[in-house]
Amino acid sequence: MNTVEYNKSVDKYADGMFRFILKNIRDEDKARDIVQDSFEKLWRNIENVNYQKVKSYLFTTAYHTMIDLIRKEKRKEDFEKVDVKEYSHSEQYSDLKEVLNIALEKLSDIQRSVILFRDYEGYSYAEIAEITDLNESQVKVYIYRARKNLKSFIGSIETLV
Amino acid sequence: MMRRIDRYNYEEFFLDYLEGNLNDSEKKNLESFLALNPDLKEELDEMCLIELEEENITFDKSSLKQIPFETDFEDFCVAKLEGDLEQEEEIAFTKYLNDNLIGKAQYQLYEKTKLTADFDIIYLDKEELKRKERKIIPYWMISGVGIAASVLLLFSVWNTSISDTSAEHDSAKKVAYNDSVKKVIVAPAKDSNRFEKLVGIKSEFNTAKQEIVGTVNQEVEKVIAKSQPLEKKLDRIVTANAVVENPSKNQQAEAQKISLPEVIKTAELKVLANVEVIEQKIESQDKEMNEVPVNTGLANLGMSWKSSVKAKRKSNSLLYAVAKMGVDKIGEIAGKKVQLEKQYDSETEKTRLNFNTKGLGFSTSIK
Repeated sequence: MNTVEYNKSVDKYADGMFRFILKNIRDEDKARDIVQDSFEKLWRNIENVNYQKVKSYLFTTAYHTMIDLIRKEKRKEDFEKVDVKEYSHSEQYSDLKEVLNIALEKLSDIQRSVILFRDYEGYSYAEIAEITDLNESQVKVYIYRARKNLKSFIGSIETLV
Repeated sequence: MMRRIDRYNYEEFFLDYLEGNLNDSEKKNLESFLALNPDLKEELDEMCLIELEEENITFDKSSLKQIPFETDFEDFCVAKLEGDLEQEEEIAFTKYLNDNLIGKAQYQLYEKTKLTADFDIIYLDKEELKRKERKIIPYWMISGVGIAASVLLLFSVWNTSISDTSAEHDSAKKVAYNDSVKKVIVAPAKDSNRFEKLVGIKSEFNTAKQEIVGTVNQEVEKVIAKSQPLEKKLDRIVTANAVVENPSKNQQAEAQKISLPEVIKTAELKVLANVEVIEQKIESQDKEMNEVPVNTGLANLGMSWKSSVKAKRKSNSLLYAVAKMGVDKIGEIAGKKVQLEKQYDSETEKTRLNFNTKGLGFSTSIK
């Protein structure tokens, strides 16, 4: 990959990576840092990365950096005994998008990641498996569980409404 | 051969009759036999009553087909949403949903779980992530950089050695004044009377100047011209009420070495004789150092030098600026960030100049 292709990659994938990370960790600064780190790693390995596979490389790097961060944060949370946020159904939701955002937050980290890869980036089970170091069956199971959880949450909100 | 009917085989005929297996002649024979045996006719009638009618029992085979959709409904919904169903399954499940309103409503909830990316969320600092094209450095540029680096190194070493040793003494010996008036420092008036005295003296000077108009020569003209900045200087010093301390021995010695051009010196002495209170004093060390140009070996190269702590600082700053510019240029050419930093070591009381790259490191003491 050359510099021109590298810069094209920035234009093509930086937004998607940022969205994906931001939806997962909901921290803009950290999401930006992760995107920067990922492109820094790509630049260091520019000679070894094929432009055809750069998207996968970037998302894999960003995903694993994010997972490391989440693990670190969780250890911190455990140590500090911070209560996990609980979302009440009594909140007012203006639209489906908002409901989905809340529902997304309630998913497990892995379920959220795989379903975001699936819906945001349109990745296949195999591609998600490659990025997340899971096998295809596991990816499928996580996606099915995520869908059921999301549907269950939406259903409960709609019933209340 | 036609069979004969009698009381021993009539049941066989009766059954065939009921099943419709008798031909016309056999049916006539049966009727003749029944007319002769009316008791058997009653028996035949009884047999006719026992006829089972077909029950209308239907089995809902479609319910068998719906069983997987019912039991694994949720999975089928997700599979349909994800496009995981085979074509036949897809058709059957779609038909099932169309026939089942509750199921269809549930599937519609699944459809809502499909997330869509929020394209308003964008990464704003893309330009910061981008990189410049790696340049191929031509040979002449590499050699140029090499020469520049050598000059920089020599400059650094020279600067350090001169600064460390006899810079101050040598430079003091080589002091040369171009503008003597600026270098004459007048002791400030310590009170207003003294200031008035000074003003009065200036008036006398002006009067005397008018008196000698006829015999005035170019030398005096120069004196007057030179006296103007002196007056301004006096005013400034007195107004500020600045107190000038006695100079140190070294500074006095340095002042003694000042050699004024003869013409200016003569004119100056006239003024000094009238004023009396004017003394040659050094205002302060820092001010003096600013104003005294010092000549060193650099003059041979057409470069200026100043002999004082502050001047040295300036030189070091200049060195830092040159080094910074050179290092920045090298970084730009190499496409890498090269760090240049100044570090002050309190133990050795020296300032070190460091720059580092992945491939090259350099450090020099610049005091």
